[in-house]
Amino acid sequence: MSDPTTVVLAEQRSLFREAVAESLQYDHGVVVAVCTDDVSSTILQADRVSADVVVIFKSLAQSLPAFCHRLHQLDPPPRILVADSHPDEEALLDAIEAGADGYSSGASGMQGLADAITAISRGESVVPPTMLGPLLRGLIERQRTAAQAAERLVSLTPREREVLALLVDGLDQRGIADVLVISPDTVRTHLQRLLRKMEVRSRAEAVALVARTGLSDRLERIVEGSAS
Amino acid sequence: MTMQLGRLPVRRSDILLADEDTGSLLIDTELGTTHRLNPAARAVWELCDGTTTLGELVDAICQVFAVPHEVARRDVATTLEQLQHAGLVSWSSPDRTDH
Repeated sequence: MSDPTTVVLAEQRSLFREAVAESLQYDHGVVVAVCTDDVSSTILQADRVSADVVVIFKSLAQSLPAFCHRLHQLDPPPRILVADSHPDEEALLDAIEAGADGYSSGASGMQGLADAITAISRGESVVPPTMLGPLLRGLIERQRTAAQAAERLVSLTPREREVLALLVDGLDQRGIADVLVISPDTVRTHLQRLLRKMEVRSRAEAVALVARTGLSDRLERIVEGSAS
Repeated sequence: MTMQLGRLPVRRSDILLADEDTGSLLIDTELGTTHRLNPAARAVWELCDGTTTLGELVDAICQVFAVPHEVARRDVATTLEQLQHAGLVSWSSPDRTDH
């Protein structure tokens, strides 16, 4: 007989969390080892019980990339299932891009969630069948956007890339000027040019584009390359 | 069939897609035939839109299912071959090139 699956269930709403855990255990034979209500306690508890599967409900999915990254660093890393209350293509896309191994849409109720936990614990990737096509299309579209953004990044001058990298780090115009030892007016000129080249309308949009397309590392390498 | 380099798969627009509890069906109303699809084949069918390259499709499948690139490429090619054999998919001249 195989060992039972060790499940950690992460959900902010206590009543809902307890109800789901009880139903999984008594109606569907899935034992929840521990329930948690925030990211930090989930990491700690998943590590403590050597979780096989961590189920993250959408209430805790705002910082999903960082959440999944920290779970992946555990030894052994648990499998990650994002659970939703209704099918949401954008949430599915975000979950898979963040590094989750599966997504349960809630459309099949508690039995669907129990089945998803069982499948994911066996090493399968879980995606609701009718949502797989939209998911693949979404991933392809994001990849195309990233490729276009990468092309635009290459068109920036080394100085503009440095300014962009500092902008992504959260610095404002004066902070960038202080780091680069140039005037705030010069920074503004660089910013105006790089926004035009990146075909975005605002600094926030530029930062969001870099974050969304995963270009932060590439930007860092380009800046390091131009500095050496 | 062989993968047609530089060409893009396009599904027939007059085919109906129906989802059931046990899987999905493609219904050819012209010939009165049906074809059962598993979830992966259903997704491939949906992406035969005349703009998606084989390479893009394979990359996305690898990202979701964490399978080796060659395995995904072979499975997608087999699915497309079966869809084309059934007369459900054809190949278009591309604006985009395969990679």
